Amino acid sequence: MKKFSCAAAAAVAMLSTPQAAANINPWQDCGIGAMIFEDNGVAAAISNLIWDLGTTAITSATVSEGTCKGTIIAKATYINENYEQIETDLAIGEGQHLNAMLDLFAPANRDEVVAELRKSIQLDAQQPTVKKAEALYMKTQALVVAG
Amino acid sequence: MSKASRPAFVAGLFLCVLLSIGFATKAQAGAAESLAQQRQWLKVLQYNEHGVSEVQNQDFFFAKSGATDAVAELKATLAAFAQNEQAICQFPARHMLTTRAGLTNAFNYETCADYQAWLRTNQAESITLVFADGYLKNPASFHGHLFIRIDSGASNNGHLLDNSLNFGADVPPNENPVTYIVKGLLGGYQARYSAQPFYRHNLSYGVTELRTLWDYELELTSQQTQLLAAHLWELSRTDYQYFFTSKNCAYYVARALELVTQNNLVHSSEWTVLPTDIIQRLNDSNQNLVRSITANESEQSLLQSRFYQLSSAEQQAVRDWVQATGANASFSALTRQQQKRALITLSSYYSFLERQSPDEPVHKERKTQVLRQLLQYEPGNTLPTKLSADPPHLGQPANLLRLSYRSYDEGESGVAFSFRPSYYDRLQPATGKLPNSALSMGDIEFSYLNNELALERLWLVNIEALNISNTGLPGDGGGSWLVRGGAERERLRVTNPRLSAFVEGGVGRARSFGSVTPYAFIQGRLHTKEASSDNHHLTVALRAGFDFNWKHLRGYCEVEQPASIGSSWSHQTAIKRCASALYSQRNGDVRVVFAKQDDSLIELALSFYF
Repeated sequence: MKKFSCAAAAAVAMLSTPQAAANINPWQDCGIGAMIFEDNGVAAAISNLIWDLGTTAITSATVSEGTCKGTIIAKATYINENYEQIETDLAIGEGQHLNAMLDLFAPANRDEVVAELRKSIQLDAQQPTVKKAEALYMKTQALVVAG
Repeated sequence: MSKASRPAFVAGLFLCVLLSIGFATKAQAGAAESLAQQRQWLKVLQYNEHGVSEVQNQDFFFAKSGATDAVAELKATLAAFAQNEQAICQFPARHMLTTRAGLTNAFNYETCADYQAWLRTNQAESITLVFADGYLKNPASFHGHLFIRIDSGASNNGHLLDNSLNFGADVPPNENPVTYIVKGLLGGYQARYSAQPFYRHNLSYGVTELRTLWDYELELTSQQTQLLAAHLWELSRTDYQYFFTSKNCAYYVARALELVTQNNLVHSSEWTVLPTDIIQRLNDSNQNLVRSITANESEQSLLQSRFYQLSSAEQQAVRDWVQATGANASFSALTRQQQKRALITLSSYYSFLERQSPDEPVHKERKTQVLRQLLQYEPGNTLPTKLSADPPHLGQPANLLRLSYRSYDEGESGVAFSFRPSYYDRLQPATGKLPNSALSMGDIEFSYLNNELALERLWLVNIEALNISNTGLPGDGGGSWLVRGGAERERLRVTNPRLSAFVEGGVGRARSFGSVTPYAFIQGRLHTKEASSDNHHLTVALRAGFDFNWKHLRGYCEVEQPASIGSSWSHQTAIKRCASALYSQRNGDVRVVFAKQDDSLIELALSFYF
């Protein structure tokens, strides 16, 4: 029983430790996943709330208050709203929407990141855009962190 | 220096300091007085030509009388800046002007966190005026739209992340169309600027509404760019009364730009201010205000540009792919490079269809199939496009005066005089307008035939859109429509026609074959009596014809078969009509019309656009 309590306490402690920004999933940790982004690109009305109310999204208990601000939300919102254009640019191998995404993430080697993303991108018409956007964000973030 | 002379020296020094303070204060007062009279100070307060600020918010001013007293506002501003750095961050453009006049010390605006976050860039490199093509599905967008973008240095991302400032009316959701139009015309809405990353406008205008965005990058010095960007920040918190035709996006965007122009771009007494007016004035003002003009093509325009860049074999492969929903013999016969060009065009095609019918999953599936195929090729866009259309500022102005000579076969002849505040008809060049379309409002015509003056026509609204299919691919255009309402006399059918009020609507198909565009419509008109002997109020018609555009000769010929529907159904005599603009310049044209039904008409007209 004591062991269980210690483990539970450790788990709570771990959960309450703010995550490093690189590991944040804005869809799950900042509440973007709770919002429905339409597939037709007119998500602006919804995501305006995020931008115009001070670029702060809903913060979950696992991240600190300041984490869901600024660039993380800017990157996630951009990918959410422009996913279809980014996906097309990736398939072609270049394009303005892809460039803008790379400008936001600022990877050390853009060509390598593009090559890796072209290998890993999920082209599935059945999957909701918001899920594909989340996957693209996490993959890009992982590639940037890996350097 | 002896001890005795020291007090005299100290006294002299004290007097000198006092005098210099006095001179400095006097000089500063002079500088303040001078600045308060300068155009840029008046413009930074948004004063119009009557010396009254157009900003309604009292908190835009430090002085109570700031909206009308530029001197008092300058004094109050200087006092606020001296007391509180936050005031500088709220009004950095004013501070730039007072610093330049030597009235305040330099300030590091990078310490203004909210201002910097709003700017979205460490350094505004340039300012661009963006013109969105007209959009016929929303009355407020018929004449196009204007907004401002603050550009950072990077351009290979299409400035998608840069900040843009849009001016729009605050319209409640689900406002009914009649209320919307009435309140819009009569100033029933408040309006304000809203800041958004440019990609939102690119999505809503270019992708969803299929409107090409024209970038007019302004020819400004770095100092002017910083000043205007700072002023836009100041304006981002202001409110205005919105009038659909006059005090609209074009008017207030122009007012903001006047901070860096030598002359005013608009006048507060203008009845109509259209977005095209402003870009024309910027280009016409001889102030060298535009550095470059580029276009960001709409999804449909991009598809058409890409399709026309393809060779005939590549175009055939695209058609066959669409028909067979996948690779086919003609596609396999292409080289890999050609295949990629065809696939890039197909990705555009399915993107376009997806936007047209977002609830139709098949377009998404087919696009995904194309993208999967594209991933098999080396990265790179092998099909770059450049829009060949003329920029919208080269189009004919919106206001029209026309004088016509008319002769009817059955003896009547005389002149007609027309006036129209906006916008264009099918005989005008398509520059800055939708091709093969007409959009006019408040079109009024008086005739003087056989010594009799009459109101011949009053069209409140007339929209005819031949949404032409350029590529011939299924779903790319074709669905055409018309809406018209007002009153007119049917002289070709009736000898003594009444002024008949009507509403009319129709749907049709059109397809472009080079310079000729055939079309066909079915249309219906609900109307009051056109002749005293009439006993019907509904006329339906089939209409078919073709538009042509050979070099400078634009026109159309058509045949219309109307039928009267009252207690019984009866054919009317068919109408044959040909009209052409024989000579067309930016400010005018010469046109000729032949029409025949029960009577026939020859008309020669001179148009003046201004």
